[in-house]
Amino acid sequence: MPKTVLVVEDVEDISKILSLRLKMHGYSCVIAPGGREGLARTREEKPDLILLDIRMPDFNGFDFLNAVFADDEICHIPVIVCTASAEADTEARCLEMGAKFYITKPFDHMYLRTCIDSCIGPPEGER
Amino acid sequence: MVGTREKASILIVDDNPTKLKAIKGIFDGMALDVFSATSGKAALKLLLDVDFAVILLDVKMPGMDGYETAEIVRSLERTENTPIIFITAHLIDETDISKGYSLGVVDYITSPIAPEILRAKVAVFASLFSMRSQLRNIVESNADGIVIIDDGGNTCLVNLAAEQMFDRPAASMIGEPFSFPTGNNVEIEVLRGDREPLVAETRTVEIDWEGKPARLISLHDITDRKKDEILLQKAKDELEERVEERVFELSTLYDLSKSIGWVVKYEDLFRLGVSSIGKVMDFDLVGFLHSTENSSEIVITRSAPVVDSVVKEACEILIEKFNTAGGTAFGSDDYQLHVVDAFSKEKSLPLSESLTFHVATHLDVGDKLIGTMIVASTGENAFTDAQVRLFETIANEIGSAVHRLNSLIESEERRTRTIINSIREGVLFIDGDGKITLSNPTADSVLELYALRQDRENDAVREVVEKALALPGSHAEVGFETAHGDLLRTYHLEATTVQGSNGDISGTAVIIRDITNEREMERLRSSFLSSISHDLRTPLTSVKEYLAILLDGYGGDLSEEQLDCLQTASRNAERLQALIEDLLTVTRIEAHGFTVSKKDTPFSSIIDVCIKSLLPKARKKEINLEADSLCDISVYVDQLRISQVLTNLIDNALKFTPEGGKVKVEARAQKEYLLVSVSDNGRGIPKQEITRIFDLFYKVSTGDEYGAAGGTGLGLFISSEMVKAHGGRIWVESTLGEGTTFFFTLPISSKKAGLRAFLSDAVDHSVKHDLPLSVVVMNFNNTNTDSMLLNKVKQNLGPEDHVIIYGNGLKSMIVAMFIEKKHTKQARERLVSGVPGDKVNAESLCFSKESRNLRMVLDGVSKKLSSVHQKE
Repeated sequence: MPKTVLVVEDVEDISKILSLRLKMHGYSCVIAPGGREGLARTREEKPDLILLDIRMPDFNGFDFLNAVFADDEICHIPVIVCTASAEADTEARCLEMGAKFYITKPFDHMYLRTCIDSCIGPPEGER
Repeated sequence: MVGTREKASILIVDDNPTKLKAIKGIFDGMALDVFSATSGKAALKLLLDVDFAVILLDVKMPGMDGYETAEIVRSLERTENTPIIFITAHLIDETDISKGYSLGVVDYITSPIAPEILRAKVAVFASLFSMRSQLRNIVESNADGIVIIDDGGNTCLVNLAAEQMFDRPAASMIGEPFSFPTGNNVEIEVLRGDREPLVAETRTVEIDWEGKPARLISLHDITDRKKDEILLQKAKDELEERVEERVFELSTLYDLSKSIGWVVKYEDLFRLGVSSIGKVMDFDLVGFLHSTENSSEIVITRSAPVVDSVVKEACEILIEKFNTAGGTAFGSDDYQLHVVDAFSKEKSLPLSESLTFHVATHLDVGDKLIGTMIVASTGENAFTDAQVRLFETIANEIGSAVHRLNSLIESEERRTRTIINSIREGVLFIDGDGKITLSNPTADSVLELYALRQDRENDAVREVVEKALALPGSHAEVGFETAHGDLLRTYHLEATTVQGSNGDISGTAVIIRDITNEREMERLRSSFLSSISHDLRTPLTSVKEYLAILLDGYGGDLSEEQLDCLQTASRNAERLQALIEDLLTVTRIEAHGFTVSKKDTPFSSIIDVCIKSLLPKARKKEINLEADSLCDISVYVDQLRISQVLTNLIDNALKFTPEGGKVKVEARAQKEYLLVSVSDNGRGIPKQEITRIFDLFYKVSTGDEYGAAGGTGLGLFISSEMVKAHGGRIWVESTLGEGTTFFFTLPISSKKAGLRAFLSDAVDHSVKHDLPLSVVVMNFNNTNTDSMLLNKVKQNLGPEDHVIIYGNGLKSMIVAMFIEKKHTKQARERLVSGVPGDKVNAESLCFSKESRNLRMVLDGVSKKLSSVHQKE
């Protein structure tokens, strides 16, 4: 069973390419098109890692982070933020809230893979 | 009398009447009064009443004979000179003849008498007599005094006028020596007891008097003329003096009125008045009371060190004069008093402690009272009428000048107020005591609305004023925010010291600007740019990633053509991304500037990274990219930022260099800076573009050949900002057609450079916040050059400058801190140019001066110094 990565991303084109890349790297991938759905899927599926966008309508990345780290069931799941937001304080805020990495779009997929790997190790094998 | 001839009288004396008659007959027909006497006695009786030209005297007479009679005649003063002719009937002997002559008998006539001879003889005497009597008449009746003196200088004759002149009877002078100088036009002064001296002018003629040579001195009384002359001279002198005085007065007034026309300040006006008065009168104090609708002031000028009570007295007189002249009554405290001292120290203390003399007058124009004026003295001399008149005239002049000035200032104030009121910014004028003396409605509304007068925000005003005062001639800025309802409004205060004409600071002008909207615009712009960037990045991510995944073979193997197309698309996506990143960087710089986290970094490692990343690009264009770096040089920089700068410069060079060209990166130490250069042999930059090349959005116009090379116009701007953030400098040298070299400097890491970097920051800080600090660092050894440098430093120290020593011992780090209020910029230059290699003797540098400013600055610096020290 490959490890599962949940992609919380409202832009379909982005979530699709992320999913393609993750699958190419060997991970299993689940997509949630918004923060609320992302939270629901996290609770349902308990993914190994969450790839999170920040700028999303209604329930944004910060709301999502708050919710995840407030929930004992899922707070252990590593979150990597991947956003187009370039403000320095956004990065600081995310890391402060508990995100493991902060990657800006356009991202380098090799760097992305390195980050994922450092959180959960290779796609197959022990967590 | 002159010209008419008096008949001369003759006397015939003979005891024989027949003979008498006969002789008398001889003179019939002659113009003579003939008297006769028959005896000596009768003859003498006649002689008492009549002056005779000649006496014919019979020698032989009974009783008193001729001799006896002649003797008596001679003895009488009146007749002593009267000629006597003896008549004898017969020849007499020689003895008798000589006896007669000895008695003054002039002739003898013997009988029988020859009538012709007698007549001729008598005629001579008669003529002589009449001439003499005429002369006597002339002399006696002459208005001029006449004195005749004989050969021996004795007085022979004094006429009536002369008697009166000398105030002595003639008799007392006759025979006495004449004691006055004689000659022509000699003025003699005759002292006459109690009477005023007489002045006479002399004329002297040689005459024959009584048959002897003599001098006739006529004395013309010129006493009155003399007196008149003296009076006239005196009158003339007085007149001249008065004319002179008048001319002086007029010229004083003229000078006053001439210069008064130019005066535009009360103090100048009063000073002018004082100096005018000083020209015409001797005073100890001049005072002006000047009253306008808003204020009253008294200006007292002391020309002598009079005591305060005297000044007060003068003030009271001025006020009383003002009040009695119908001025709006005001008490003794309703005015500002200015005392101006205009006396030399040598002037002795005044005699009295109260005013002895004063004149006060009111200054008015038409029926409008504008003030009063006083001139006063504590001395003994009262002012003359003329001085008082002049004083009043001067007061008049000053009065009208004050009036003119009042209306001038009034209209000027009105105009200024109109202008100030109509400008949108708030304007405050704060005087030397910190009081707001002028404010416009905008300022009022800001101050009142937000209660700036009392609480915290008032500190903003105080702060900016204090800052401005700390650096006179420059200006200071502070900003503050305050809530206006729900709105937060931001204000910007700018203060400038205002100097009076004498160079003193008369106050501070504060401009209050509401910059809320500007700030909002800035925020909007920044957020717009950031949002645009975000919105650009998302689709770009898709483009890039889908291209990448295809290139990675996701859609299967690609043909050569497909690969080429996708690579081109991918390259342009990269470029687009670079553009967006630059835009974001600029946005950030513009909004906040950026922070650099510096640490010691070997510069060679930075070069290596940059060269490595750009080598493929260079190879593609067949450009020879090489680096020449001194590997052991470390710089104190933010590695990422400097890599960005260097990459940008190399990238630019590659862009603008044709294929087969050459790009060279060099780095070498220069003093405490590392000089980095990136040179190419490309086409060069036109001169007119060089100055603007680091400007935001400025793009060098590209020729056709390099059209595709055009960048965003952001790279050099960003590079320049980053170099500056490191305390470095960036510039470019270029020759068209030959190539371009970009230079920049970076601080070298070393103990020295580290301290320098810190001090550079300190100076930057002081410049940014207008702190009066400038710093020069020197070091180290105890040599002769050290002392020379020290002297140089000392010479450059102003009265407010200070030197401190950092560390101790001979190998000390010496920090000279120049507290120069105005020249922080120059000091920065000095710091940058540095004094490396110059050496200072630490011990001799131990001098400094106490100063609040210094302490304040040192507190901040010493902390930093110690941290630098520890770090190194």
